[in-house]
Amino acid sequence: MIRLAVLLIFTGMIACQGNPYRQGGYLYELKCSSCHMQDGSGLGANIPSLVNAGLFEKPDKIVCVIYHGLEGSDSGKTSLTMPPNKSLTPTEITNVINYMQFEWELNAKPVSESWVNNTIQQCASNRKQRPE
Amino acid sequence: MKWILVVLTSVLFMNCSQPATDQKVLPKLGERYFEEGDTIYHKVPDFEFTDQLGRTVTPATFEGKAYIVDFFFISCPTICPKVKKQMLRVYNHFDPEAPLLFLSHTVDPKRDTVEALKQYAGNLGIDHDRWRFVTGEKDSIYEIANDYFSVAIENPDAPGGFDHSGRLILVDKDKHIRSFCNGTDPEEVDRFMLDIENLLSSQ
Repeated sequence: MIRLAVLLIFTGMIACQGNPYRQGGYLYELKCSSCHMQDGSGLGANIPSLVNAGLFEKPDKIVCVIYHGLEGSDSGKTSLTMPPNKSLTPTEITNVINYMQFEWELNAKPVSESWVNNTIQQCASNRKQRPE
Repeated sequence: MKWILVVLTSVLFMNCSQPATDQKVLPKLGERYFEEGDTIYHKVPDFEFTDQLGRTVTPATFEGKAYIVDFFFISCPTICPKVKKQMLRVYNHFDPEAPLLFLSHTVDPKRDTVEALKQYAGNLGIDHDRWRFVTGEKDSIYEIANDYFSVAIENPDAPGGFDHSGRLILVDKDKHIRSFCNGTDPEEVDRFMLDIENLLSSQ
């Protein structure tokens, strides 16, 4: 009986390994992987790699880039543009960020939905202040 | 009895794990016709494009060498990045000294200027002599695309549908098309690289 229990626990542990952000993983596949690749490796300097890239040191920037997109000419390095994703809800953005952090930057802290929601409001107001 | 079964199964598996090593000759793809007893195979027609450094690219650029062709555009949001990633994998797989070059055509010459192509190519860290990114007259790009792809489509062994936009195509030193694959599928690209190796070893 005890053996069976131990076996079950082990099986459970093995099954639980892997990325727990299922919706985030699904959204990553759907919205991000065509350009950033399934493994997050990007395409040279044309499309940045997301793997250990220190992207999550400034998580608020990630939120704004996912939501509003990014003009390649802003960075001067590429003419490629990241499209905006304004149809994503704060919950979905939270899940996709946490998925990416779990995959590629384990040391980063998971973000919360309320923080993502606030950040979206702030990047909206920052953008308004920018001279057009 | 049990042991015999186990041994037999193992032997069976060992046989199955042997990869096929037969040397196959890649077919010359496309239409062919007979002329005075000779078979005339389809050849890539002449072309003239401009590459990422503003240099003219013609069939003479690839003289004595095989080359890999694809079509893309820089701002493509769907399959192009994946295809480029696979093209880059093929590029990095082969010895820079091998008689093999790479040719990517933009299908968006309006936006993908020489300058934009230069930046894009530079961002991939490639050698501008080995891998040409070309632009030109829209009509001539579409015409040559039709030529490469019509051959790809005519092949009865062509796997799956006819969405040709993600194809990689292998052209030999005599301008015959010898193989192609779906550039979004890494396993197909693995098979394609074996075809390239096969061609290079027989050229």
